[in-house]
Amino acid sequence: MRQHTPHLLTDPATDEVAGANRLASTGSLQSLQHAAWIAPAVLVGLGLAVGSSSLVVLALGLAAGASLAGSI
Amino acid sequence: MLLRPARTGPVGAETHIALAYLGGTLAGATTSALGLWLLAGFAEPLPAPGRWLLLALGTLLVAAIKIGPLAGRIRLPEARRQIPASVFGGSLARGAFRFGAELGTGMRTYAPTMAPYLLVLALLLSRPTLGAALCAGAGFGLGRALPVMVRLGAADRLQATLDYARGMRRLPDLATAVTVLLGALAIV
Repeated sequence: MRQHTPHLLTDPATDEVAGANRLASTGSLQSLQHAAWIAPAVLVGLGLAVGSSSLVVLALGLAAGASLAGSI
Repeated sequence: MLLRPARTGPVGAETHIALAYLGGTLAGATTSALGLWLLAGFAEPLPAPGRWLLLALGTLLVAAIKIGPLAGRIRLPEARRQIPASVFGGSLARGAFRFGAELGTGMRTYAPTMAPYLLVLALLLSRPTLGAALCAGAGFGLGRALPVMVRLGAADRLQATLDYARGMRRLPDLATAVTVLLGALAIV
């Protein structure tokens, strides 16, 4: 059975641009979100490897601060 | 919202507001870190096993209250309020600084995750040097300023905010807490 194709009510060109922008924005944001989680863990490891407690606590602070992102 | 819902000009147009906010979070966070560094002096006489025990007990207590059987029965210390809009009484940049400073202290609004409490335990029990304590404060301030920095470059900031909040909810609180705990165990 042939499926009915709905009519597009919006301008496809505009939608495409908005969609691409949203995709690019979301992609970079997801990278940042992952970085907010991964970077502290990497920094903790690096700090321990080089014996720098300052680097370790900086990473701990970063993780703790980033975890509160939604709280104002 | 500190920045306009949609970016209307070049990326750098509102940078001064974001930088003021970052300056505020750094100032607030380093102030709190300085206070914790002073309080950490009380842990000085404790031997290492005693500090580890306190860290372990404190972590269990925080976990039990936040996600365990004590959730809803006992509350960890937190300011159960949002930062009032009155901090924006002057210019937007000055308001952004004050807003950031209040958030940066970590004590002027809600703290729904476990990691900040574990960070406090780590700082109190690890007897950090002044420099290390300030580094922890700088890290906290940077982490606190991250959402605004993310929004700065986004074309659709409202969507970016929603995406970021959704992503941070997916970021497991438990995993962040474990990172902080492991780091704390290494330095305490």
